[in-house]
Amino acid sequence: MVKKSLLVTLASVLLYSMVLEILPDKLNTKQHLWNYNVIKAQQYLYETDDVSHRNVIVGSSLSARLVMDSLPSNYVNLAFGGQSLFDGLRIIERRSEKPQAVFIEMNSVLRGQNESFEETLFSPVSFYARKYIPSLRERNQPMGVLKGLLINLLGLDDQPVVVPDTEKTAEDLQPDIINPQAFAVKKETEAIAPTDEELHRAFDDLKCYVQALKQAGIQVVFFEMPIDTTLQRMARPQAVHTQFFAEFPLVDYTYITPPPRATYRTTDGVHLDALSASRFTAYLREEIELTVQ
Amino acid sequence: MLFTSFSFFALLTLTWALYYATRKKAVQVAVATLASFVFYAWNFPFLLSLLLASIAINIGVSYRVAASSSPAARRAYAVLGVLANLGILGFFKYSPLIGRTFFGADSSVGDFLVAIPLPIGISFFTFQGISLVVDTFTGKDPSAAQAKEQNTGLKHYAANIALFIAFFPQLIAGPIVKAHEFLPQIRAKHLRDIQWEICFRNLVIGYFLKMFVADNLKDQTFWIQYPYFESSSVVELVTLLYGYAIQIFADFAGYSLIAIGVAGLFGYQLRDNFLFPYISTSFSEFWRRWHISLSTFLREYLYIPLGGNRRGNVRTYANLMTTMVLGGLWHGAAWSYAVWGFYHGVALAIERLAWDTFRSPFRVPPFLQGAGVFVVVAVGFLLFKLPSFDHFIRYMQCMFTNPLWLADTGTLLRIFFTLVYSIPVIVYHAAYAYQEHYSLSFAGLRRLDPIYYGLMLFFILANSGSSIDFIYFQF
Repeated sequence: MVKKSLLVTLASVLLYSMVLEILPDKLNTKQHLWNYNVIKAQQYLYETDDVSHRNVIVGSSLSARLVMDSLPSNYVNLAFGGQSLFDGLRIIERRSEKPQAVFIEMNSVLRGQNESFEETLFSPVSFYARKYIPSLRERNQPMGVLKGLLINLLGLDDQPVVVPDTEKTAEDLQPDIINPQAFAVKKETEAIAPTDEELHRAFDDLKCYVQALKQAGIQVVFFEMPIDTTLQRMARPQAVHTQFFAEFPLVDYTYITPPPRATYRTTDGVHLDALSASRFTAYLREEIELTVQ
Repeated sequence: MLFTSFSFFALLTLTWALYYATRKKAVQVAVATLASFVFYAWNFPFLLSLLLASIAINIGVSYRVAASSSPAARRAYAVLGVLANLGILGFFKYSPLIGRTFFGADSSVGDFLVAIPLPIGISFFTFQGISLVVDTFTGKDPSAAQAKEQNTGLKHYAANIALFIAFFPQLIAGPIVKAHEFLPQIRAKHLRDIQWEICFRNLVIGYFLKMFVADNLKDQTFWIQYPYFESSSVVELVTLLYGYAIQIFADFAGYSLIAIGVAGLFGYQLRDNFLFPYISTSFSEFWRRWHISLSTFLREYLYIPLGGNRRGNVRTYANLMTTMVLGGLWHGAAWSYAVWGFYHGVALAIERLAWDTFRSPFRVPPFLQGAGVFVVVAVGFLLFKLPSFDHFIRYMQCMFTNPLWLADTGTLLRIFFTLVYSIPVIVYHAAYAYQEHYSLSFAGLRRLDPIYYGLMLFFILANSGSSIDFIYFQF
């Protein structure tokens, strides 16, 4: 019984691999945020070719909202919702081929690396199994594929495309925060200044990564996602801002000049809404062309 | 150390190889015990000292119970043993609750109590210590008495008790093993004695329930948390409630089956901990099928010693409520768990009263009875997900006041995935219920077992959710 069961498993893996070959390529198999983060990470680890000409963005849910279609095709977004820039940096470190530039989101530096995420991606047996057997990768999970097929069949879309209306400015839009409850929570947390220990731990880790990137000849660029001006003036973001310039001085490191904040709207004080994300991505693109060699 | 982690598989493989490399019982016991200490200390090495202290106390007290000649001394040592175990449990588990409840925010005593760490598995290994002491006192387990009679008995007895309490398959989330069931099994084990097919079945179903069902459902039931549920539709709230009941079963039953399967690889038979609880048509039946090791422990070591149902109606209901409230509190150091226990106690009491009064309390079809029991049980489990009583009440309110349906894709997908990942548990229960009801053997379908198990293995490989601690680790 045991041997027969194992044979059935092997046959199922082979059959499923064949089925995946005939399914549409661009199926949306995302099931939830964590699953989507793992899909993005595995795409970078296993499927992204020619990383040496790529520019990689690392950060949190803030920069995960950047509209990548508005950036050149050699840009890769390794910003993960609910996680931190260190998860993206860890992935860059683990892949032997290195990108040409890394763009680091400053906002999320105090959030540590997610160990469960690292375990999920790099656990020895599963890492190599997924590398050589694509049907075992996260984006090919059968229930996700089933969902993708149903979405296609029913004509639903869980990722509506936002067409930016560049003629509108923030003043044309309603100024209210969409989610006042979440904004209230954010105000409470951002009012608490980080401890010295918290700051040192985060920046010591970041310095190690940045040093390693520079030694590998990779350009490092810091940028800040615009957040609500009320929050920006609070203790926590201010402390992070100050510490960045203390640890990574302007004379030695490249920073993207922040845009005028009043032109952006957030859903909860920190996450740009769709229109503002599109607008900021366009701004980022212009600044990169001006600032980065 | 999770059962789904690479480090666990490495430890299991190495331990198993060393275990069967020798045929000497003493060496096998030592290998399994040492592996258990590594397993426990993996994430929190300093807590190993607590486990060792618990083992030492239980060895000493149970040996003194057997060695004492006077009944009064034997009783005194037995009471001391039970109190010592309850004291360890009470101090480490309930101090934060006492600190938060009875001391103000600025109290240094309160701060001290709140800061006491909760050692993983404490609810399980202290209960096993109680089982050892009581079974030794009642004579159900003669191991200590035998060790006293033999000149070199204490050394072997101590080694056996260390294994009994620390045995890694069931150390941190059960099943709770009783001394008189486990200790007689300690002898030299051989490869030929392993029931490979039974171990395989338990492991595959266990990992499937855990990795495919529970770990995927948790990403949908995440939205039960406050304040997210406040903006959900009634249909979504009901679906998530149902999904959480399925998840908690799959998580806990899955872990128990893995523990039973792994124990089987070392030659130890552990009792089933779940027997298709969601087919229950009464609350008393539910508690004969859910977390069987805990319910039998509470019956044997608490309810019956309190008098059970032998001291009149009033005392019977009092014993029932006491057992259920304490059983609820065992699950967690928060008043919401006591409320959960009380909730189940009330359900059992009402059912008992109805049965005593009317003889046949529910004149409804079994299917509807079962659905009613499931609904009550599922609502109760919400207290595990929302330990703040305010949030629990708010969730129940939202189920009656929120919009019935919200037509957005996100809602549709959460409902879709909750229902899809719940299907295996429904099929699992339905097949058993059908087989029981029609007294079928399903011999023909049994021939297809390799296909079922092969497919389960495929889904474990291809569609596992992200690993998190088993829900019952928090207890």
